[in-house]
Amino acid sequence: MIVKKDEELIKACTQGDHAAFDILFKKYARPLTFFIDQILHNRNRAEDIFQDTFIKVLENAGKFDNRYKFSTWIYRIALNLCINELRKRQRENRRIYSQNMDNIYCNILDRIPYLTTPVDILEKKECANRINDALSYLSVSKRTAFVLKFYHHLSYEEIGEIMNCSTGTVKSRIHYAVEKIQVIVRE
Amino acid sequence: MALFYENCPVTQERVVDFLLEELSYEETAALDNHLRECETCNALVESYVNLFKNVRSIKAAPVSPETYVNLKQRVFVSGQKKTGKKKKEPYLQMFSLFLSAAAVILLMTMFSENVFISELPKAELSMNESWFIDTMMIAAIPVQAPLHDSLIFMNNFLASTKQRIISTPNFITQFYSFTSDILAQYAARNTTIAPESLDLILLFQMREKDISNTPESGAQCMRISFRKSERTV
Repeated sequence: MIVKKDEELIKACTQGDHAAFDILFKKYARPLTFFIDQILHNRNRAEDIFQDTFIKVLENAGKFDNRYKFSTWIYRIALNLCINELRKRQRENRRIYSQNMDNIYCNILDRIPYLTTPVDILEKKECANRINDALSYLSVSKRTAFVLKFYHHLSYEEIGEIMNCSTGTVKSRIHYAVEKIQVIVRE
Repeated sequence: MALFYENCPVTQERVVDFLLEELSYEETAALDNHLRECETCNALVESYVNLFKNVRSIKAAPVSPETYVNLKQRVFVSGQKKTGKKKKEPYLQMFSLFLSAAAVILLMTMFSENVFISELPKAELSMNESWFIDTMMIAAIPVQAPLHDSLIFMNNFLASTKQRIISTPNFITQFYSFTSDILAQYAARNTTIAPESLDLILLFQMREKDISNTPESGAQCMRISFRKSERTV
C-alpha cells in the first residue's frame, strides 16, 4: 500500500476522493478536536471548530508553505479559529469578563477542595478533572503551549511555528504552566 | 542560572526540559550523572514524573459520528461552502420541510421494490466506535436515490425541529414512527446499504435517541430489524 502525504490526500479530497477524506479524518479528527477542546473547554464547539478547520484547510490547500510541516499548519489554522471563537465569546460576555479577574481566580481556587494526600493516590478521574480545571486558569497562550507539548508531543520549535513566537517564549510559557498546574494540583 | 536548591546547580526548568526530552545529549548526560548522587533532585524529578503521568492520563475522546457525517456532507455535498445558512421564517421552514419529507416518504413507499438495490458487501450496523472506524475505511460507492436523499431530508427536518420538540411532541413521534417503519421494511428485505446512507441512518438514530427515550421507539425497532436482516442473509 502506498502511503500518501497529507498534502496529496488534501488535494485528492478536494477532487472528490472519499477514501482520502476518510484517511485524513481518521488521522486528525481525534487529536485536533481534543486540542481545540482543551483550548475552548467546550466539547460541542470543539467538534464544530474542527469541522471549520478541516474546511479551511481544504480551501487554502494551495497556500500551504512546504517549508513547514503539514500538521503544524493544521494546528495553526485550528488555533486561529479557537482565538476567533474566544474573542467572540469574550465580546458576548463582556459584562462578566469586566469583573476583577484576580477575585475570580481567588474564588475559584477557594472552591478547590483541600487535599492532604499526595497526587499519586488520587483517583484518576478526579485528578484529570483537577488538571482540566488547572488548565482553564492558564492564559490561552500558556494553555496552548502546554497542551501542544504534553498531549501532542510537539517540539518547542514546532510549537513556536504554530504560535508564531520564539522557542524561548514557548519554553517559558510551558515552564510557567507546569509550575502553575503543579501548585493547583497540590493545593 | 537561578538555583532551585542550595548548593545544587539544577533548576526546575532544567528538570522539566529533561523530562520533556528537550535537553541536548550532553545536558541530558550531565543531569543523569547528577541525579545518581543528589537525592534532593531525585525527589524533584519524582514529583514531576507523577505530575506528568497524571497530566498525560487524560485521553482524547472519540469524535462523534455526527461530526463525521456533517463534515463529509460539507466537503462533498455542499461543495466546501462555509457555514452561515440563511434562515427562513421558522414556521415556513417547518412547513416546507414537512412537505418535502412527506413527498419523499411517499416516493419511497411507491417505488420500494427496487429503489436501493445494491451489490455492496454488507456493513455491520451498530453504534459502537469500531463500526464507525471500519466504515470510514470502506471505499466511496454511489448511493442509490431516493433513499439517500430521503435520509438527508429526514435528518435536516429533525435538526430543524429539535428545538421545537416541546411544542410538537405528538407530531415528532408520529414522524419517527412512520419513517422508521419504512426503513425497517427495507431492512426486512435483506437489502444492503451504501456506507453514505448508513452514516445518515446512524445520524437519524442519534437524533431520535436525543429526543425520545421510549423503549419501543421507531428507531429502536429499525435497529432490531436491521440486525434480523443481517442474520438471515
